[in-house]
Amino acid sequence: MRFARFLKRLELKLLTYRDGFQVASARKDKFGEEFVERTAIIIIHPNTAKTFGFKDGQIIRVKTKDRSIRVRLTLDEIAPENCALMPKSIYTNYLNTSTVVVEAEEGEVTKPQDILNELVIT
Amino acid sequence: MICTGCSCLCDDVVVDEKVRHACRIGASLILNRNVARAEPMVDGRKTDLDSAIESAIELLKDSNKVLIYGLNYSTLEAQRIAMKLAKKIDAYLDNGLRYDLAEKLLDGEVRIATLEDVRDYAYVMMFWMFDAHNEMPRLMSRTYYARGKKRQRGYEEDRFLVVVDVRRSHTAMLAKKNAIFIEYDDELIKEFETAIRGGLARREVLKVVGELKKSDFNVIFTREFLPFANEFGYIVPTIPQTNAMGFYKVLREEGGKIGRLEELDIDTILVVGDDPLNDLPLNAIPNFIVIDPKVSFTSKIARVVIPSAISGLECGGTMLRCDLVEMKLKPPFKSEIDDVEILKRILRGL
Amino acid sequence: MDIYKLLPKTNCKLCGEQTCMSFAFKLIRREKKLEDCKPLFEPEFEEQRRKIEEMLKVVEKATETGLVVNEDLCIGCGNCVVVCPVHVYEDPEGAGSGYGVRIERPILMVEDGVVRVVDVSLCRRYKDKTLCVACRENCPTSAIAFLEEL
Repeated sequence: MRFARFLKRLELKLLTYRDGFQVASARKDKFGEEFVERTAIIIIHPNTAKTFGFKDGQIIRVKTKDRSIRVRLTLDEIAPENCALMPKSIYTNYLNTSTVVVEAEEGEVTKPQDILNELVIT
Repeated sequence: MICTGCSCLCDDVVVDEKVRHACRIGASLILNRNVARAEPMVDGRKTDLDSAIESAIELLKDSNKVLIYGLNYSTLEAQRIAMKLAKKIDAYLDNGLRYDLAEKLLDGEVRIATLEDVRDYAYVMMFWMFDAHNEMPRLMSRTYYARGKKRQRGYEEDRFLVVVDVRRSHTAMLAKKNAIFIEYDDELIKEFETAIRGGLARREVLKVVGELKKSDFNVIFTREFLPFANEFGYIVPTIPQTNAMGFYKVLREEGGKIGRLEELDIDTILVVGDDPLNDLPLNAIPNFIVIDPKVSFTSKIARVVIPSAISGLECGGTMLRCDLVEMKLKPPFKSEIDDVEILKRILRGL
Repeated sequence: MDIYKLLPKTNCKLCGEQTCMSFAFKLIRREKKLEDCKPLFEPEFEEQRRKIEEMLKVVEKATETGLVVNEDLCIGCGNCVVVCPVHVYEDPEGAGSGYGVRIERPILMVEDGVVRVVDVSLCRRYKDKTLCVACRENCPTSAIAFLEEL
C-alpha cells in the first residue's frame, strides 16, 4: 500500500478520553517515543473504517477549521460508530474541537515539539 | 511506600528491585523517575538552581498580575506555602479543575464515604461519567471487586454496579452480572431525581432505584456534583489528580483569589507541578516560571525552570486521598530540593 | 481462535495437518512451527504472518504457565488478582480485601505495572479442572487469556 488510491475524507464527531497507557507514558517522558506512540493516535470503530476504506495502523491527517495534525489510526470497538476517539492530550487541546475531518495521508506523525512550535508562533 | 500516581494513594506499594502492586501509572512514575528530569534554566540557557530561583523572584517582582497554577501534585505543606505566597503578592490561584463538587463536600452538603467503607458496606456502586479503569486503575479492585465486612460473597452477589457514560468505556465493559450500563443523555439527571422520589423514568433508571432500596449504603463515584447525591447515598469524589483534594482543603483554610488561566490577563504564571500547555488551549503565551521534577511542555517554553522532587517518591509530606483521608507519605528516596524548599525561598525573596 | 482467523484457511494440508484449525492448535502448543505453513510466507499473507508472529511472542512466555498476559494491554488494575477465588481463600487479608498479594506464592500479581503469572499450579483450571473464568471476565482489555482459548 504505497499511495491512497482515492482521497478518502470523513467527517466525524471527536470524543476525547483519558487513556491510562497514555498517562503512564506521559509520566515517563513527554518527549519520548512511547509518548508519541500512545498519544498521536485516533481510534475509529472497525465498521466505520471499513466503509471508508481506512486500515489499521495507517497515517491519518486530522483537520479542523484552521489546525491539523498527523496521527496513527487504530481500529477498535471501544470507539462508538461514526465517532473518533483521541486520548486527551496536547494534540486534542491544540485542535480544540468537537468535530474533525480525517483523511488518509503518508508521512510521519506530528511530534509534540511540532505543536509547541506552532503554539509559540501564533 | 504510598504511590502518588493518582489520588488512590495506594499504600501497599513496595519498591525494591521491582515495583510491586502499583498499577501501570504508578509504576511508570516510580520506574522512570530518572528519565527526562528538569534542569535549572533561565531564558532557555542552562544554569544553577540558585540562579534560577533568583530569576524567578526577580520576574515575580517585576510582574503586575501573577497566577499560581497547578499544585495538584504537591503536598499539603507545599500548597500552604504557595497560598501564603499568593496572598503576599496578590496573585490568583488556579488548579485547572472544577470547584463545584469540592465546595459541596467541604461545606458538608454532600456525604462522603471512604474507600474502606465502600469496600466493607456498599451495595449499589454507580460510576457516573467516570472511566475508572483508565483514570484510577486500582479503584475498582480496591472497592468493587474486593470483599468487605458486610460484603463477603463478592461482586456477583453482594454488589450492584451501574456505569453511566457517553460510550462503552473500559469500565462499562465490566458491567456484566448484577450490573447495568446506562448511556448518558441530558435527561438522565432529571430522571434519576424523579425516580428517587417515586416518579416514573426510563426502565434502566427504575431498575437502579429499585436496587437502592436493598441497602442503606449506596455510593456514587463522580467528579461533578449531582443533585440527587444525598438521596442516593454517599459520594466518592473521583478527581484523579493526586492531591487535588488537598488543594481545595488548604484553599478553604488559607483563603485565596481563584481565577481561571484561560480567562485572565496575566503577565506571569508560576506553574507548580503541572503542565498547562498539555491541558489548555492558550490564546496568548505569558511569562512562565515552572517548578517541576520533569521536563514538561510548559517547561520547554518557560522563562524560568526550577527542578523539584517527585512528591511521595523523593520527598515526604501529607496528601489527601480522593475520599479526603489524610495520607502521610513514605518516600523511599530522598531529594535535596523539593516544592516546599523552593516555594519557601521564593516567599522569603519577595 | 484469533490465530486461526489469520491463517489462509484453505486446508491445503502442506503443513502435514488435515485442517488449518488443527494447525493453529498445534502451533500454540509449539508442536508445529510457523514455517510449516508454506502459503503463509507468500507476499499476500505478509500482514497476517506478521500479526501471528506478534501473537506467538506472547504465547511463548506462557507455555510454561497456561495463563497468557499481553503486557501491551495490561494496565495493572489488579482486578484479576483480587477476583481470583483461590486468592480470596488463601489471602483474605491481602488480595481478597483489595490490596496487593501478601502470600509468598500467589497465582498472579502486579509487578512493574503489569500482571505477572507466578504460580499457575494453584489455579483451579489446572488443579481441579474447573471452568473458572474469573480473571479473564474482569479484564476489560482482554489482556489476560487462557492458552486453550487462543
